[in-house]
Amino acid sequence: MAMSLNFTAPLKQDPESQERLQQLAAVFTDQVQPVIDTALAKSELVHFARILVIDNKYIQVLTEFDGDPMGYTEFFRTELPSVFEHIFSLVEGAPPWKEIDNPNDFYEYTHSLNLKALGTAPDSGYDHGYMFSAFGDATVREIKGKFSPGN
Amino acid sequence: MKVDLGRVQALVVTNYRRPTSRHLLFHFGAGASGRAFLRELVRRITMADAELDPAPDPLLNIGITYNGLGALGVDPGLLTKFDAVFKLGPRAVNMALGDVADSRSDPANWWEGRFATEDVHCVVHLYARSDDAAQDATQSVRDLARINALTELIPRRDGTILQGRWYSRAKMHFGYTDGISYPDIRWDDDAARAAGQVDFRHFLLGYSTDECPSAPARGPAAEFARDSTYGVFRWLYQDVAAFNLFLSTEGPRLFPELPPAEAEELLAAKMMGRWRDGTPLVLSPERPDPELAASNDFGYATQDPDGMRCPFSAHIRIVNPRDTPLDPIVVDGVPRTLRRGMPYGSPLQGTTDDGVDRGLVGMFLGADLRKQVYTLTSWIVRNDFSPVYDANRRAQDPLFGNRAVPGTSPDFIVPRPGGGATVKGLPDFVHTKGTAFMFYPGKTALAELAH
Repeated sequence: MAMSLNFTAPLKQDPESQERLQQLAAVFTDQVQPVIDTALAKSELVHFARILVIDNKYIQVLTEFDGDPMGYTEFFRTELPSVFEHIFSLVEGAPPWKEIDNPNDFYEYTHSLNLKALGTAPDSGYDHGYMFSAFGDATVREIKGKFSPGN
Repeated sequence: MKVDLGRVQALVVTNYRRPTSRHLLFHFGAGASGRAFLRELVRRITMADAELDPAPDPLLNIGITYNGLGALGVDPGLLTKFDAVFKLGPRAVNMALGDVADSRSDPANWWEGRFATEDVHCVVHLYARSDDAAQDATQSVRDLARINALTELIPRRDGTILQGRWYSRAKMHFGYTDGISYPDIRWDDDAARAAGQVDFRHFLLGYSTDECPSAPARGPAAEFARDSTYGVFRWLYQDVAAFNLFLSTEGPRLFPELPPAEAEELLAAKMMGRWRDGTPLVLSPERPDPELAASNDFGYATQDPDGMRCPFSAHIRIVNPRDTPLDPIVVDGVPRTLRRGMPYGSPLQGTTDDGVDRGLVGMFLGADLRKQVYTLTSWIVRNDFSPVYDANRRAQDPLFGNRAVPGTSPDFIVPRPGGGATVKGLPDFVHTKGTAFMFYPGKTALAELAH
């Protein structure tokens, strides 16, 4: 069963930070999306990923992925450092990037802001809340394999 | 820069040769009693600059849990800088360990239900030349604990404690030879590391760098932890009767061209990746070779890329995949850990269980629990870290996997010329009876904790 990351963080409300938030939104399609696309495709374990801003007050990084949350988080840090550095610079109370740009602190910080969904996860053993999947516990690799030539 | 080994517990640096060990678990009392206990104990702790062979019994080391450090009154501001996995504790990462609920490894059943894992504050490890010497050392530590109001946690319902014993030198209960492959650690920065040598920063705290990070990474917490390391203390039961029965039934079925005894041995080798004398299958796929029994000079990428000699899921190919290509998600490379373990319980021959508790008292040491232990146990649980597993990324380590983990397959694929064979429905051969995450303090931390 896939896991979920529901990173939800409050955004700084000062004018400069809000301006930088608007700049991020403006360049997201052309400059940020391609970088995320490349990294997540390379991982072969992310089902879905998106970044949301709620009323300019909160930012969310939402993903569904296969496997273990610790290895996944470290992959994010090493493959997408500029993306996370930029996002965290907009987050209220986030430590300076240089303080969390290491495996331990990055994991602890991101997971301190990872919201658990309501309910319980069936058959996963992880306590990340309920999530429906039409594909049972099929992994990204297995799903892609079904669509490869010859299948 | 050179590590002062006198500031490191000897257990971290050396795999002791003493034939018997005891592992005493304690819960600190209220107030300063834990520190008083350590103040007396610290002078008995064996540090790595000691001459071990002539040293009198016992060799003594101590590991302290996160709760234990808290009970000793360590500044919470320091503790918050420690390794995330260490702080979470084994019950919180039970999925990665393979110890899932409602299986025989369920953490709810650990320590035979006599106490909670969270109650463990420290483990005192004693190594001796004889049972009598071990008993004397045990009594001495117990006396010290009693004086200082520690509570000993007895992990068995029959009142016995965990005692390791080599019945046959370096032979584990399934008959495999242990102690062949250890990291070659370079303890200084004075010259370039030779090929294959591993930086000491993988095993000692307080020297974190960008290339080799550990937690605490910097500041007073890193100074406190300098020359310490983390460890996972594991009590693992081994079902020898089930293992022998499995070999005797599946070996001849898998290799009908061989006499039954040879078929059993070949299956045992396929599961481990080495013959039971230690000979690597990659170097000698047909039979054990005493000349090669201690060999580590081999790889997989070019010598056995299709797993015809050593199956991809063989134990040693999982816990040390050497030059096997890794998935992009594995950004840390191949993790190495220090194994310090000893069998416990009397040996068993044959396929009828005698009800005796036997297995492995293991310690797995490293400076980064996530990278060096959590990752490896995750790979044991599910072989999904390399493209070589694309045929079945739900497969497990055939020896140590817990078949009850959701999303895993109990099949063991054995590639063979002309078509591979698959063992269906692997039984459980091992289950976990207890686990604690430890901090093995170096001299700085020992001095502060005993203050």
